[in-house]
Amino acid sequence: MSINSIKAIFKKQCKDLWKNKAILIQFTLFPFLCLMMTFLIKTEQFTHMFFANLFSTMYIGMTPLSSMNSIIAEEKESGTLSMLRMLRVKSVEYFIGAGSSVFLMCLLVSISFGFVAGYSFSQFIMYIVIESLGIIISMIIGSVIAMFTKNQSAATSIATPIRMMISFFPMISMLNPDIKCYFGFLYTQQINNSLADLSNNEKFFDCLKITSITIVVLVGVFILLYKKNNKQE
Amino acid sequence: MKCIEINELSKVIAGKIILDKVTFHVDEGEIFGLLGPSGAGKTTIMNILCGQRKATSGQTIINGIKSEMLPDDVLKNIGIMFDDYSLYDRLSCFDNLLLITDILKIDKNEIFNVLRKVGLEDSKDKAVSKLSKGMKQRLLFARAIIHKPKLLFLDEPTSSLDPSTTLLIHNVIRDLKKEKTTVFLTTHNMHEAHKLCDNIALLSNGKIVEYGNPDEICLKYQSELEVALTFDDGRIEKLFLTNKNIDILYNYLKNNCVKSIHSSDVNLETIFIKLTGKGLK
Repeated sequence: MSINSIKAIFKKQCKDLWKNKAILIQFTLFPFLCLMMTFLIKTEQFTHMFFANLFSTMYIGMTPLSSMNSIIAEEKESGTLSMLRMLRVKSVEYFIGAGSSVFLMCLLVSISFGFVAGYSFSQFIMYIVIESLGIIISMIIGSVIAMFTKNQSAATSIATPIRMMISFFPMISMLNPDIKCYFGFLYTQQINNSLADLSNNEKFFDCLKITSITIVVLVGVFILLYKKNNKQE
Repeated sequence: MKCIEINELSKVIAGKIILDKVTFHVDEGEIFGLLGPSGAGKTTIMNILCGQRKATSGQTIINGIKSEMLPDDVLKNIGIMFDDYSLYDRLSCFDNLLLITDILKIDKNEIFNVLRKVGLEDSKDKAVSKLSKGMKQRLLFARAIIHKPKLLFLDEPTSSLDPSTTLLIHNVIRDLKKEKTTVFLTTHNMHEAHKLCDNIALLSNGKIVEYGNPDEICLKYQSELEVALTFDDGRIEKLFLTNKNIDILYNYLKNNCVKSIHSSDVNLETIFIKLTGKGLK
C-alpha cells in the first residue's frame, strides 16, 4: 500500500469537496435541522438529546452514503477512476484517500450533534466511536453502490431508497418503540439504540460487534467490485 | 529494438470480431500511427496494450514483457492520453497535474514546465470546467507526458482541435521523439499520420490492410502520375501522364485553354479507400 497515493488522493479530494456545492449542502442540512428543531420545539417529550440522537442517526445513514456514492460515481463516469487505476492506485488506497476527507467532514458535523446532546466526557468518547463506525459503514455502502452502477444517475436512483430506509427506520422506531425489534439488523438502529442509552455498556458492545462485522463484509464486497471494474469484458 | 510487439491479436465481444489476428510491431524511439475509421478497433488495441482489456487470443508484448503482466514500475513509465480518461472539472489545471506528480513522486516544478510546453501556463489556476475543448485536450496531453514516459499512447490526440493547437502538439511529439520516447498514436487524420509518423498501420474491420513507412506505402500504390486540368470553360479533366497523354497535354497548353494544373498524387486516404472501399472518417 502506497502512503503517497493515499496522501495525494486525500489532498485532491479535500480540494474537490470544498468546490462541490451539492455535497457541501448535505453536510450542513442535518445540523441546521437539528438546531432548529431543538430550539423551536418546546415539549417535555422532545429533549435536546432526542433531536440530537434522531438527527445524528439520520445523518449517518444519509450523508456519508450519498457523498461517497456521488464522488465515486462521478469519478467512474468521467473516467478519472480508470486513470487512477492506470497509475496503479489500489482500491484500498483510493477508498482511504477519498474516504478520509469525507470521514473527517462527517465526523466534524457529528461532533456538533454531540455538543447539542450535552454528553458527559466519557459518553462523548463512546458517541464518537459509534458515530465513526456508522460513518465508515455508510461510506462503504455508498462506494459499493457507485461501483456497481454504470453512471451517476443510476447510482443516485439506487442510493436514494437505500439511504431513506437506513435513516428513517430508526427514526420511526424512536416514535414507535413496538417496531424497534424488527430493525435490529440495521447498523443505524444499533447505533440509535446505543445512543439512546450510552451508559449501557452491553448495548454499546452489541453495537460495536454488529458494526464491525458489517464493515468487514462490506470492505470485501468493495474490493471485489473495484477489481471487477478494473478489467472490462 | 522492438518496443511493442503484437502477434496474432484477436478480440471477440459477444460473437463479434473486433480484432482479427492483428500483427505488427513498433520500434523503440519511433512515432507509430495506427490509422482507421471509427470502430476499426484502434482504441481496443490500445486498451489491450495498456492492460485495460484482455485479448481473446494472441500476444501483446511491451519491452519484452506481456502487457497484461507489466510490473508497476514499467507501467509508471508509460504515458496515456485516452479520450475517456477525463480531468477533474472543479479543480484547476495545476491541481489536476499535482495529483499525478504526488502519486508518481515527481518534482512539482515539472508541472510548470509541462504547462509551458503545451501553452497553458497562463491558465494554470483556471478550473478545468472553464477551459475550452482545445485547452482540455492540451491539459490531457500534459498529464500524459508530465512524468517523461518512455512509451506514450495517444488516442486521437488532435481530434476536433484547431490547426494551431494541432501544430503545437505535433511539435511536442517531435521533441519527445528526440528524447527517444516511443509514441504510439491512433488517428483517422491521414495528413497527421503522414506528417508525423515513421511507420503506420492501416486498420479496417479489425484487420491490418497495410503497414510500413507512409512515403513507401504511397510510392507502392503510385502506379502512374496523374494530373487534373481545369479549363477556362470550367471543365475538369484528369490525365495519366503516359507518352500519348503528354502530347495531348502539350496541345492543350499550346491552345492556351488550361486555367490550372494540379498533380493528383496518391495519399493514404485514397490508398485506404482502394484497399477497403471506404474512407478514414
